[in-house]
Amino acid sequence: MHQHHVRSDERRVVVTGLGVVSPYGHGCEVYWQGLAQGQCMIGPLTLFPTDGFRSRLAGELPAATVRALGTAQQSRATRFLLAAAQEAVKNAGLDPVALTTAAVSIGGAGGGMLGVEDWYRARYHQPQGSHRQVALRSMLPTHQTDALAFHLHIGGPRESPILACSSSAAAIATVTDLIETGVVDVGLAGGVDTLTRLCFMGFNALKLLDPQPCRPFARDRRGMSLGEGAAVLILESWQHAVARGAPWRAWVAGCGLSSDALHPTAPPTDAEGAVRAMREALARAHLTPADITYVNAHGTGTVQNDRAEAVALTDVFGPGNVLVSSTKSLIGHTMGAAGALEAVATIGALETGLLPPTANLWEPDPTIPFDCIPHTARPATLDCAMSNSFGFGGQNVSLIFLHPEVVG
Amino acid sequence: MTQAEIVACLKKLLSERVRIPVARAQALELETPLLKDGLGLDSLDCVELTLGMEEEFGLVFDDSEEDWMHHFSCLDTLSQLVLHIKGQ
Amino acid sequence: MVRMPAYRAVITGIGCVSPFGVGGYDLVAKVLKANVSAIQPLTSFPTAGLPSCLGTEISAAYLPETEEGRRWSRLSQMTVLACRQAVAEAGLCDSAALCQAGLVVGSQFGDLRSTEAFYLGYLRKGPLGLSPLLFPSTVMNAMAGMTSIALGLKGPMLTLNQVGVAGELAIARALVLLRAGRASAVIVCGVDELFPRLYETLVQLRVPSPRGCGEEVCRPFDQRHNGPILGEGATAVVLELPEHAQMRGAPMLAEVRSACWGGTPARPGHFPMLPQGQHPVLDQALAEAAVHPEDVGMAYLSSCGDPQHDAMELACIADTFGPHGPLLTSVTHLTGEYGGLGTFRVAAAAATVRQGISPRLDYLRQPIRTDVRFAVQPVAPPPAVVLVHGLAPGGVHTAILIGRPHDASDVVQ
Repeated sequence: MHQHHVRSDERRVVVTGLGVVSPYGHGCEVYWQGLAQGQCMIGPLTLFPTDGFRSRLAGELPAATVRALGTAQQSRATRFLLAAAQEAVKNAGLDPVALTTAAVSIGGAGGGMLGVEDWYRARYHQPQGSHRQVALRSMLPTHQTDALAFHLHIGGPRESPILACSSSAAAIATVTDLIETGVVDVGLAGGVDTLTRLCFMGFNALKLLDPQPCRPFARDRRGMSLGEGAAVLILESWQHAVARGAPWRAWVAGCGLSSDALHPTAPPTDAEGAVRAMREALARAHLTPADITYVNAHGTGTVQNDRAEAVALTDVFGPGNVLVSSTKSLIGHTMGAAGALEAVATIGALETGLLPPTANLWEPDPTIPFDCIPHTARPATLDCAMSNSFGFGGQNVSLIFLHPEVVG
Repeated sequence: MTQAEIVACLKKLLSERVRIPVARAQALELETPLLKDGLGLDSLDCVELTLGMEEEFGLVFDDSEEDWMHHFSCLDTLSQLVLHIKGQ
Repeated sequence: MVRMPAYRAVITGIGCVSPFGVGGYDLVAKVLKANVSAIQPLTSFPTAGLPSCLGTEISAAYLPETEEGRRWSRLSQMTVLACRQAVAEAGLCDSAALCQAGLVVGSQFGDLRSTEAFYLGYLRKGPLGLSPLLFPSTVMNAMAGMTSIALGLKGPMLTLNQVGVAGELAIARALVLLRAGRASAVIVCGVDELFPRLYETLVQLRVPSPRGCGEEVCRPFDQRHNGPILGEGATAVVLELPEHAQMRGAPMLAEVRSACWGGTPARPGHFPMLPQGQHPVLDQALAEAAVHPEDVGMAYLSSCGDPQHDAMELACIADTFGPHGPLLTSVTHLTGEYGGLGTFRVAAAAATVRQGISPRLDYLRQPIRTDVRFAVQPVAPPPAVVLVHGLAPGGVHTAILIGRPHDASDVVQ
């Protein structure tokens, strides 16, 4: 492996814990197994009626998994987030004292909106009726972050970044900044989003949903599929991890943040913003494009995104010079949780030496000059991998992770 | 419906759904470019207009065509599309 | 010897869209000097039958329809206008500089008005009633997105959702962006709006005054306090690295000497039990600013008339500063209360250190504590350092220290 060096006084960030709730179920292991098997979890959406909409599919958590998470009094989003965070904290071996000064940043777009939709609909149909307002209290995304801080007694800087599809990737980047600048030694960074009617109806109205399970990078792709889930990463300064004898799963080598400043929903055709985010991540990581072997793509499956993303990857890496795959093809687009779930998938690729595939890629788009790992996971020994998120509103985040053994 | 009636409805939709000022929408000629080199509509506006058209004219718009936006080039092409779909 | 803060940023521009009008530093200074409240009976939507009817609202005259703003929701328009004003005041008009600038928007409720309109479209007409144009506004980053498009901002862009201290949090995060070298200038905007369903729902949840008890008023820290009066507004400030501002000859209105935040765990929506005598966020802010408690001449507090909030925040201040601490003041009796108000507080603090202008708590008759000092008279001379303090339900705690720029030659007497 190519060795990278870090000075003993350099505050670099490592990942010491991971926690996941996904359409595969509860837990990081079951998530990685599902990705490794290339098992597509996009199927009929059952959480609410979908009559009259062109796409009626999603990566929905099995009801049995949800029932086992948290309590029915908590919002669906809170239940997902707490379960993911508890797994991450346990797996990092973090003690309660460390949590009292830890940062926490949880990205998400929908918050507890699912419950609020029920309330609003009930009020609309029966304006004079008495309707329980308990769902309103957990409506905002910040509620989920507050709930997490309360349940795990987290006392450091707290944030709820909302960057649409890039929310939890931004959470990872911003907690990394807090650690690198010395504000904190430890942080929980992640995201959560559940399926909501608003999101489902909105993307249907935009005609951005594929009536079939999404087909990122395919010639005949027709849009996204939605999904839901949560993921939390425990980030620490490597000095803090060493001091407490904690092993780490990966280095956070560099993060790039940029904006397109072009359009509320569409990326620029030259993908200039995405290119800048990737180049910033590489610069901060002191890496060159040649160091990256695998990119976990934003890969939504829309005609525009995949085309623009291919332009961006070509600009940075050159055609065909990285392996690429889309986690969204397997679990759907989990909105605010996507960045964190895909970061976990990327770290899993580094750890296991197995790159998750792109599902439903029967006929790759010939204009996309990359091997997008159709159907079957690909063995590969990786030093470095990149994970990209390009959100609505032109918000780009690029994260680079290093294998734990490549840094001396 | 005649083409003139369809065009009148399209102008109303441009104001109500796409938020083009009423006077500007009413002043559009049949051949006035609607997209980048004219009124400035983009894909988001066209999708909004599509939904309005589906509701107003009771039709289903097939957006599987790669270059579907060319139908939105001007009121003439758009109204012809409506006539074509309604005639099917 | 002057002790330098660990990290500083300077405020080079202010933009404000408010019930008082649209303007920059001068508008903020005028509002504080006049000390006249914008709270009045709401007129933009009916409040008949509700136990509350007061608030502050931005006149439609300040938010004209424009072709450029065809897609802007009202909240996005407020954000764009405030940021544009701040950028103009900062003289940051060079497109290359704007291209690299960051943007942080803080909001409590985001564009719920658009969310409601979007969902109502479906409830009324089914799938055909949905508006693709409206959908992007249902995600809280829409205001930042529209602003970045309008101003050509291509640097890091974040939207932070936070109850009560969204503006303060945005300032603190912007300082970290500068510190981490992600930008040399960051535009920070706190924004929230009032609309009928939100107002009605918050009244039903007994959030605003009078909460079934007494007169409907805004009296933070007074024994007659019985809840906030709701309001709306957008205030943007441009924060820059001092060397960047100096290099381009930018006006330096004030300096952010530190901006710290943390959270004491609390049940969401509730205030935490703060341990007596231990307020690490305040301590950290003072240490990072290289400021002693006795150097802080004035403090803007976030409490808004909620009795528990008022009590907890004063306890925190009293613990840290003792009986000879800063003069305590508030803006919420002038502006109404909303989650993004913190950036207005920071702008106000800039006016205080620069010219000694500050709001007076004229309504204060029976303070709930007598071991702290309240600003009931104009302050003279201008304090060198002002604290902008925030405490929110759920336990988030913020502390921002504002001072004169270290090159103080442009301070107006």
